[in-house]
Amino acid sequence: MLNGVSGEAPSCRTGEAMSPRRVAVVGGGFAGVAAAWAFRKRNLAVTLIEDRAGSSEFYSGIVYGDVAAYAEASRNFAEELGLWRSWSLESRANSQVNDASVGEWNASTQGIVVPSIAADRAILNLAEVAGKRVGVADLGRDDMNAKLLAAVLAEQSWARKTHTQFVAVPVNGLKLSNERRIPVADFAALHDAPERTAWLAAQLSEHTGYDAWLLGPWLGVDEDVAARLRTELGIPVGEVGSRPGGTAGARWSCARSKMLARWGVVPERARLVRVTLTDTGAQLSLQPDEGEGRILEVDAVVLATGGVAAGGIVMEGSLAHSHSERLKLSYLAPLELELDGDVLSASDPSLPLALQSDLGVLERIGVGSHIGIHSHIGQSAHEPFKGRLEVAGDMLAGQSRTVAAAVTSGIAASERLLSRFEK
Amino acid sequence: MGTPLLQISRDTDVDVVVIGAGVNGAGVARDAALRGFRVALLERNDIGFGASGNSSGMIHGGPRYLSHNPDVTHSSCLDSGHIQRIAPHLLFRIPFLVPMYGKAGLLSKLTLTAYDAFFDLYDDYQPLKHGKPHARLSADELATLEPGLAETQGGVTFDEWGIDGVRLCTANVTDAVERGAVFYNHTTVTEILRGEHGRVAGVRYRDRLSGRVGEISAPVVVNATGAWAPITTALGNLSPKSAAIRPGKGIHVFLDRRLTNYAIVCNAIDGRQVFLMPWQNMSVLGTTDDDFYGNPDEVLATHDEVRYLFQAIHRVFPAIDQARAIGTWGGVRPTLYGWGGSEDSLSREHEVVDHKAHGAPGLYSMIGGKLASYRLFAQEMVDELARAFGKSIACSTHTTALPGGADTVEPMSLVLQGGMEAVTATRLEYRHGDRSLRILERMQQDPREAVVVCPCEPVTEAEIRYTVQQEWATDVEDVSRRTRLGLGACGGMRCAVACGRIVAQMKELSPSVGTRMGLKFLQAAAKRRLPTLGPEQARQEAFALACLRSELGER
Repeated sequence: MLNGVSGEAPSCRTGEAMSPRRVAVVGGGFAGVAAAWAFRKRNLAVTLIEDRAGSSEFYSGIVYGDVAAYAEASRNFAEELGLWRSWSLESRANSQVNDASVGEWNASTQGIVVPSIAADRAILNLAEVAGKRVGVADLGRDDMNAKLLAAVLAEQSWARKTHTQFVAVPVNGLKLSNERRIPVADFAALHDAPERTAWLAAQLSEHTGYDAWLLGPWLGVDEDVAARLRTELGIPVGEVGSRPGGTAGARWSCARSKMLARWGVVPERARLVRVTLTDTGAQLSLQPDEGEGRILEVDAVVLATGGVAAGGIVMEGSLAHSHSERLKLSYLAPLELELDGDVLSASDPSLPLALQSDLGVLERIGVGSHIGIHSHIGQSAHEPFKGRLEVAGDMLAGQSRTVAAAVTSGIAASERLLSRFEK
Repeated sequence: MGTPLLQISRDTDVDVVVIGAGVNGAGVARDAALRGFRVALLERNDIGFGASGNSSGMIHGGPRYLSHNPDVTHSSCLDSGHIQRIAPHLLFRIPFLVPMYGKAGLLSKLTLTAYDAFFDLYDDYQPLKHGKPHARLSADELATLEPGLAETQGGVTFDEWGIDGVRLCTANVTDAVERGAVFYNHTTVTEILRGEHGRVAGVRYRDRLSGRVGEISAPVVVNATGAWAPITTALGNLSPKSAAIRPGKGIHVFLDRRLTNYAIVCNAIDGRQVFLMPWQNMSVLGTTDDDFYGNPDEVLATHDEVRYLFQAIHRVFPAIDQARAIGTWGGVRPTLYGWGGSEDSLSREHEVVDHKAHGAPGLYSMIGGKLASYRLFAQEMVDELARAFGKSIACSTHTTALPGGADTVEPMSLVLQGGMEAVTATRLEYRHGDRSLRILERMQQDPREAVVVCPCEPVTEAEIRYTVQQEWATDVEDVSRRTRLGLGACGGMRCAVACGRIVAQMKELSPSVGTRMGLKFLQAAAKRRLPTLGPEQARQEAFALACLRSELGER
């Protein structure tokens, strides 16, 4: 179990001299933070630039995919972050319902049961309750229709295979009527207070005949409320996955800030508007929401600004010049995106055709590949950018958009830059 | 009066079969039902699926006809007044600005004076539709009203009314059914049956969802299928040319919020007039008009069309570059056929084709028309039927309120009784008028149904259930058309799957069927958004995908 965070302050403990290299990481999601952490571990000075919350805040608390590459490093990162209960180094992608009581099986907010490699420590591991009678607590909050959820869960092939029952149970869990509608992370934060957790435990214990409790994502933001409830009630208690932008995102946000602070990284809020590659490094033009923009000169940069959202950055420099138009997304300029190696334009009839067959096609689009960076994990960057620029996370084309892939690609990007520095 | 051309007979299932539940078909069904005819209405896709639900959403008075055909302007304005009386909840005022550009000097002054004089004439008709008279504005006044405008040489204003086309169609269908008509949604006519002497005998149909087939006998079939009109006549073994139209594709781009206080008219690169207008809780940029040769079931905007509109509006409202386009509408106008002449110069008039001339007595096609004059067109059609049947029953569609339009409901009372937020209540009242009280009743019976499922619009669970139960919605796309669920800033990423589950529950289907309905909606919406992908929307796409991953897990 990886519960908790190591207490030491790691930033200067190695006693090594600070590296003279300066690096920048653009994007404060899973990929960017993993890259920044990997640099700081090797004593480089890191500037972390971020504009605003991105799709990492939308994650459900459940981590899919696998960590085939950089497995140990990603596990260290997971441990450092202290957000997840486990971090499986084995791929779960091919897990069958036959393994229904092995590893982690979690329910998403919509009640879809899928195997995962890691889950937020408050999320119920269904593998523990296979074949049992699970009470789905209906607190009457707007964000969860327990009856419908129990029906969806019961319909899942995992539940049918394991003969697990899900029963919606009305539970008096709201103290004030406005708690029905307050934002989910605020409601979860109420349970950080021990007396509130104790009250909820008392309410749940009034209903007997259930082997476990499944609740909405309401069990604390800072504290491990699920663990407290398990102790009080003596049975498994946990959550379904969070809705996008819900409690899991808030927990990630808190854990991230704490970890960055421990490593002495202060995120700077600005939008990256231009990257100019020079002979020795990169120049970044940064624009904060208010006030003057500034130029940041670094030896290398990792771009991790998210999927198609990376649009808007203009690449400059002799090598990249011919591609600068391509990266610019604008209504007035043609838009081109790369899809599995083919460059498609939004005006290209084949793009809507591709969409017709598969919504997931947008998943496979990467903006990073426009400038010739393909960087699938383990592969190196396009030759002209080696040692100066790397791309991580959802900006990469052709990789799955998972937290696991973001973390590994962030570590991979920093490792590749570090190995160039050492030469 | 001599012998009637058509006979009403108890031997047939109905007196009139109407094909197409766009605004014309729904209007005819309502009018005929009000006059006591037995009516069956069949719709291949969904209510307002074609041009009616994809128009600019205006009940305008037709200023463009003023110079050459002022009678059309008069009747348009008069009918706009009627529609306000029968469905007051559905109309909202859209003041227009026409800014003048060019060098300061005599020429621009003269142009402005000419516009001023033109709208002086239009002002004479404005009282018919409760519109305000126009005003001539200086450059400074324009800049005060709409600070985002590029520097102008002054301009003029005029006043029009906006409407939600699908709501208008739904209200007409609902009223027709409440007055005895039978409505078959998602049901396509496979053949127009012919009897002795080529006389129309009814239709054969297939329900596209269940596959069920059947026949309805009737002495009259009205083809109100808009862009599909030539295809429909072919189902009766007539030449498609007997109901010739010149299909004109028009697209609109919609943006995530009301960017301006007023609608702005300007010229595109080819001199055509295009506009940016605040419409419900978003902005609409339109429109194009191009000959269309494709499949009317599948009309998508292209990237070129979107850029044409952005380029035009960019000259007068530069901040449009920074705005976030969240989708497109594509529709095909069933314009009256004409060879030669640009698309814009074609008549927006309408006409009834009596296919007796083509050897098919009893078959009529409604060709052309526009949203603003639907009621008048329907009246003309049913007048002709009444004459043919030898009945003289007067039309009352201009004096009888549409469902929801009879009484005024104060949105605040919905807030107090249903525990809704004010904006939820306002939007609910807009769409349903006094029928919003029926949705309120659902919430009072089960407070769970007051939950907002689509936070952008916003749409409650009770309203979704009401559209399935009372308004013939069968999937997420149908609910979206009636309620605007999933058409807001987030593109349905937070509500489509949840809505699908509710629809499935109402129809006693498994939740996984509901999930698939939600995904189908999202896929269609992504296709409509793709041509608009700009910097802001691209960012949102990444969120939408992250959202799906969160909600459904990796699949």
